[in-house]
Amino acid sequence: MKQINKIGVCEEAVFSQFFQSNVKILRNYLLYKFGNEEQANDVSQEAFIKLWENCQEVPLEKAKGFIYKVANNASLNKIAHQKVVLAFTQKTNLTQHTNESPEFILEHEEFKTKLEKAIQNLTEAQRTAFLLNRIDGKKYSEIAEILEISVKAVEKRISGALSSLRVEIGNIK
Amino acid sequence: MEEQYDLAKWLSGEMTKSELDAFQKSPDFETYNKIKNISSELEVSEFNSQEVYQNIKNRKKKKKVVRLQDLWYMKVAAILVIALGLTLLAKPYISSTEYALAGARKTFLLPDNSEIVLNSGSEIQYKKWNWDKDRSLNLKGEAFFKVAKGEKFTVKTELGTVTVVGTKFNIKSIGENFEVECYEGKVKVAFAEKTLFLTKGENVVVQKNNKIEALPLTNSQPSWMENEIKFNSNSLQEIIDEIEIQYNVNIKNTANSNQSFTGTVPLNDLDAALQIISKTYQLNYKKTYKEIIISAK
Repeated sequence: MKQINKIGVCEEAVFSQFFQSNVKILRNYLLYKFGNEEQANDVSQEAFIKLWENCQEVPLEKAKGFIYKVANNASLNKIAHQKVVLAFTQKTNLTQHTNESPEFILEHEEFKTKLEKAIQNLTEAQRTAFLLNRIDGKKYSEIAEILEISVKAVEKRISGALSSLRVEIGNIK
Repeated sequence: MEEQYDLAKWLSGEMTKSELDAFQKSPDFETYNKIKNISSELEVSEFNSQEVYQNIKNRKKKKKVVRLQDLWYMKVAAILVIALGLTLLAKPYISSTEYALAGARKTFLLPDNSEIVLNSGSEIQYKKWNWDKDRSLNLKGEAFFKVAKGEKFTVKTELGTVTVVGTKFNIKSIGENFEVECYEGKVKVAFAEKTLFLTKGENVVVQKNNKIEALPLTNSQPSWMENEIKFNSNSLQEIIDEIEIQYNVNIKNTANSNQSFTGTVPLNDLDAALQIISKTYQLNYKKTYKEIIISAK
């Protein structure tokens, strides 16, 4: 990345590479936030279009902050406070469980269902931080950068998420 | 909630050995560990970044043609919203009509869950609007009613009106025949400036505005719902009309008779029905590919 740092985003190759390395996380972040796939996809696309339209003014090192800012602003215009219904997809292959007893698999599935339900009830802040870490494998420092908060704040959100999930799962019978 | 352990540090594997040992002994550790393992298995739907990039590229080319697509959607959306709004507004005020085609029946529910079974070739008209306050409908033909409890329920026909509160009853209003059969509760029948009440198991048959003798009710539901057509001193032509509509067939009748018929014929066996009629009236019948021809012997 170093050698292209000085080159503007208006360069198609630069833009394309930046897009490929950032779009998925941006989209997933918005998905965790809205709980709505279509909205997440639309806002992600909108953010990159804005970046392209403003490529003269945005240097590459600021591009990431720019797309998240646009995405977050766009989110404000979307219907807020609607109940999050995050759809998790089922892993089709259960190969990792093939040696396990049916009881174990059942219990595992049951726990997973409870967990998914509990995640819907997290606060938006907790959910985005937690899922960026668990699903996208983002480090706390990376999450801090995305959310424009301190690493300490991310840790606080993660701890809060874990604690609420445990309580929530205990309550779901 | 104040937690004893630094859960975030544990999740990222940054807990010290002694902290970890203590945490593992805590009763909640098992659940936390499951959350950690199972949450890493979670997946969200795949994302087609190639498609999005293509969309962006297309937008790059026509930068100035902004949101043409969006506007197009908006127009369609606006039209749909207006159309839907008008439909929703107008719907309750317009009469709803339910039909049963010849040879078919139709069962449907009114807004108060009263059940109506329409016999073949019959029609009911009612207004959904304010239904709970004004339960009245118009009937042409024959129908069986299971009325939900509530305000008074009125069925208007060309020959008479039936008013009930909550009951099961059958009404037939075809040609000059007006028949009401009460299977449960009590109904008030008004016809030709006369009024009478029917209770469970009672029926009334009115022909040309006069009450006539009728077969008593033997079943808990109308004969047509048990696959029989009941006739109360009906003319040959009325019987033929009824068979035509119930079986959805064409009958050409060249015979003539003044004799009236009281009794039942099957509703699910055309030949048996035709045989009964033929025997009673001393007729012959012949089935062709398009119609049934009935003639005097």
